[in-house]
Amino acid sequence: MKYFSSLLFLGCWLPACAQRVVLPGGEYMDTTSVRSPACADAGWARYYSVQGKYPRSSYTLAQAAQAFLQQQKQAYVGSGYVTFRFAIDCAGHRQPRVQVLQTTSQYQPTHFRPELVAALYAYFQTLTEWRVGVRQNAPVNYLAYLTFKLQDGKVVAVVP
Amino acid sequence: MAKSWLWCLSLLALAHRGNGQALAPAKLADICGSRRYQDSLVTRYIENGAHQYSYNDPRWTQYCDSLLAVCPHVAYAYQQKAVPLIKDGKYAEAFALENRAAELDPHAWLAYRGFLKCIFTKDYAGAISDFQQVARLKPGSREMDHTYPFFEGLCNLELGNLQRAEVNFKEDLRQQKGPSGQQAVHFNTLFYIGVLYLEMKDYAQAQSYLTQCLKAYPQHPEANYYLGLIYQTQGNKTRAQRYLLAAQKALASGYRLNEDNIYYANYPRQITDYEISQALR
Repeated sequence: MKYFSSLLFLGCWLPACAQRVVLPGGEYMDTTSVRSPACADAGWARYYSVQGKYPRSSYTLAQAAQAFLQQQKQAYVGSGYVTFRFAIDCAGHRQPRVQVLQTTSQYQPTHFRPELVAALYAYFQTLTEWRVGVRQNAPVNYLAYLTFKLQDGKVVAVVP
Repeated sequence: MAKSWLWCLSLLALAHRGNGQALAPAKLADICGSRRYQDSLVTRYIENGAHQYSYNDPRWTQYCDSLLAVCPHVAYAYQQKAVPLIKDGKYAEAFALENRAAELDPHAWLAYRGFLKCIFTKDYAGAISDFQQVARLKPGSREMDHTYPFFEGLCNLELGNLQRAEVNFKEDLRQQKGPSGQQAVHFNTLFYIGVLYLEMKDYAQAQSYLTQCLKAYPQHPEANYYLGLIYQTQGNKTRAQRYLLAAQKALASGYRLNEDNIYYANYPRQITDYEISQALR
């Protein structure tokens, strides 16, 4: 019982921290593969065939992401792109397994400082209103991505 | 036993001779430069190969790779191989291929790469550079239904280079209207010029262009939305609400900016229901 408050604190803090895992097939922020059992039999699509872009404009997302970075009170550096690739299940829940891709402004593979990637990932985790993908009147799982375009450590655009 | 070995060896020798249609490297390099030969490969590996499948099917990429193994100078194969990658946000892989395609055949693929930079990766400076280069190669041409100055204007608008954007959009208008000055103008040109003047705080011009856009396409969600914002700025709440509600209704009814690639990536200034709801608060 005396450790309960510490455990509670850890429990609240841990979800914001990503497990950075490097596998032969790519780098991932999290490799847990929990799926909604109800979605196991649902089909798969890409975000663009089920209108699965996040329901905010790119400008709104970029502003919110940059505001989130500023709240971290850290100085970030670097220009280029950080992309998170992930799946949304047929109930509209983002799955924990998230691949991270990083390139320079000239699209060359690179690595930004881990604090910057972790902060972007923490912001990304606040996006919880993913659309339910529907194809031929049936809900489907879908693959999606979200890219943060960075200029001198600031988010200047979000894709798609 | 020895007889059967000999028989096997002679069969192998025959098979090798049959395979002799494969060309020596030097000869292959020569023939690869031939447009006719390249076209025949495209027919065989792309049209009758990759295109028989979805671009998300692994066979799409395999066919592109097969073509490139035969002849690594076919720009179209690089561009086609990049199609699923750009739509999946795999920029490092996609742009390595797009760069090769643009290098091999700038007439065909430089403007397309500029389009990808402008709309997909929001690399506005890179897009302007591509469009300026290709405009020297193919003046007066178009990409994805728009003139090159349209994309330059869009990029300059997003970079905050408003005076340059104005020059670009005027050139876009000139090219679209043609020598007679009478041809129709794309509604999204009118829309973005409206947004440009809104950014310049020239509300009269902004209203004029957004209204022209709505004459061509009354359900244009963004034109209704930005016109609503202008009226809001001017304190005309009734009119503001009318246009914002029209924008909301248009989106709910499935109307969009009407560009082919909006399913893959948002166009600059594209909105969702969230932004309209915020403005209506």
